[in-house]
This record gives sequence, structure tokens and C-alpha cells, in this order.
Amino acid sequence: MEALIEEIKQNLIEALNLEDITPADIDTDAPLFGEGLGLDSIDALEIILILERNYGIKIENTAATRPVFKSVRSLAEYVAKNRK
Amino acid sequence: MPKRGNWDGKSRGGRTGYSIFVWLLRHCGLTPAYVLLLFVVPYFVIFAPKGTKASWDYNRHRRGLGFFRSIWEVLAHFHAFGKNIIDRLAINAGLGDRFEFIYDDREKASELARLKGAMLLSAHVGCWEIGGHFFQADDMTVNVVVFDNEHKDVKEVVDGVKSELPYKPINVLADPLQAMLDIRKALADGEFVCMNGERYIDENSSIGKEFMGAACKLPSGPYRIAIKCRVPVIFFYAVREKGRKYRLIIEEAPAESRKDVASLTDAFLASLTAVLAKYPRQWFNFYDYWK
Repeated sequence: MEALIEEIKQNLIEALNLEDITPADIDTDAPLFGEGLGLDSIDALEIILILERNYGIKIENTAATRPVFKSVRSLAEYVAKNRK
Repeated sequence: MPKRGNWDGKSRGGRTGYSIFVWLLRHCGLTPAYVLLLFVVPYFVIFAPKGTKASWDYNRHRRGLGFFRSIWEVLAHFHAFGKNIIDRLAINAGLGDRFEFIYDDREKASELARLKGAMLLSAHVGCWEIGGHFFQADDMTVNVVVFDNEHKDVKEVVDGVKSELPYKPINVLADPLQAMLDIRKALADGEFVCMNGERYIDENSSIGKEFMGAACKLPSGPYRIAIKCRVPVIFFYAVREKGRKYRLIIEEAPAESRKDVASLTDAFLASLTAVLAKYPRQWFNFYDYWK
């Protein structure tokens, strides 16, 4: 799981052009949106694309998957369970 | 917390005003509505000072017109906007056959309609909603990203005359995350997603540019989405011409402009500038756009 968490952090840094941020700077349990990493809804689109392109996971409805976008840890847990 | 941008997602006009025009359209037709508009325009020029100031700034400073010419153009500007509102109400009420819809380049429009999954970017120039009637002719499935902050009472009146919408709305304020999923799915399914490229709501998601000789801000969202999803981008405008004609102007953003937000916004502003040079009275942003 730790390796996957690091990989997701790296993916986020590259895809979202988070300049001057290293994986170590990202708190695994901090909120991705608002406070914490401070991402916005269009960054959420980038996360959706990361899940799709890198792990073959397609999300079409947020009703059940909203908690997945809570933190890097919740993303990693979801990827571990659903990757193809 | 989003920082409020320069436009609040609400359009001008009260319930009573809209209701009178809807009644006239339903019972007397278009011409009496246009005649009433001649009396309404001076009222709004006097009693909507923010809108009047915005129109003055646009005509006097951005277009660089003389003092007296600017006074005339402010009146003409409000009149053009009033006609735009009447036309929208009329077309929504099923009076679309009273208008002529023409293409700037029919062949190009058909060619672009065959694209699978593309972003349609427009502006409050002319009547972008009328673009939906052109797109129906090419069997395009169009999703429109809306910011549903309209005054509730006005919305009830306008919705009351709406026939079947020629597009599928995606309400970004109601659930931003779901809106992103819907946009992604629509593009992946080969549908079109339409957004406005010139108004922003959240200051944190805006990008500073120069337009018509002054600094302004554009929403970064539509451009970021297009680039992230790697889809073609089409600029379109439905502008009004004399004789109840609407002309669809449509062009594809150059491929090289889709490499980053700065290049794509430059391409959009170049396209917008060209359209406004030809149809200057159809710039329908009656607020402090350049601030």
C-alpha cells in the first residue's frame, strides 16, 4: 500500500503541475480539496483521468464514490481494490 | 472557499418585465414586443446605472468611440440586448419558425459536427443558446455547463415558456465533482460539451488576459478541461443580423493552441475580437468586465 500511495502522490504532482512539492510534502490523510492540498473541481477531473488512464478505473457517479476523493489514502485504497 | 468573481451567475431583469414580454409574445406576436422594447430601453439606460456604465465603458473606451457616438451606441447596445432576450423567449416558446437561421460556412459546420467528443466554447455575444437549434440540424448531442444562479422568480417565468431543450444541462454549482464526471463521460461518449469562455465566477479559477486593450479575466476551467481531456475545441457564436436572421459562426481552435491554457485563451480572444469587430453591439456583458 505504501508504494501505491507514493505512486499516486507522484502522479498527482505531475498531472497537476504542483511545483515545488515532493511526495513527502503531501499528507496522506489530508483532504485533497479545500484545505489540505487545496485542489479544485477541475483538478478532480485530472484525478478521474489518472484513475482511468493509469489504473483502468472508470467512475461515472459520485453518489457511491465521493469518499474516494477524500485523501490520497482513500484514493490508494480504492485503486488497490478496483485496478484492472 | 471560492473567491467571488466578476459575474454572479445571475442575469438582469425582473419577474414582471419578463412576464409582460411573455404575455405579449403569446397573444400578440413578436412585433408588439419589439415596439414595447423601444420604450423599455431608455428606462433601463436610466435605472440600470451599472449596466449603463458597463456599456459606456465598452463603447467609449474599449471600442474607442467619440462622446456623442458612444451615447447613441449605449442606447443601441441596450436595444440589441433587449431584442436578444425577446428572441430567446420567442424561440423557447416555439416561435422559432419566425426566424431564419443561416450558416457562415455550412460545410465547415457539418465537418465539425462529425467530430467525436469536442468542447464548444462560446461567449455572451449574440445568442449562444440559439446555437442549439443549429446543432440539432446536425444531430449533435450537446451538453451545456450551466451556473444556475438565476433569480428564482425570473427562472420560473423563463422556464414556463421553455419547450424541449435542444441540449442537456450540466449544473456545475449543484455538484462540481459530479459535473466533472458528466463532462468526462459526455466527451468520452463522443458528445459535445458547451461552455462559456469569457465569464468567470470563481476568482481563484480565473486567468488574467488583455482583451480590447485592457486587462480582463477569463475562466480557466473550460480551457483546462479541454486540454486535460485532449479534445478538439470549437469556437461558436450565433449572432443576430437584420431581418430576424441568426448566423452561426463556427471555427475550430488551431491544434497548436491546445497545448496550454495561455495559448488556447489567446486563440479564443482572437476569435472573439474578430466577431466583435463585425458585430460590436452584440457584446452582452453588462457589468464591470474590465476591472
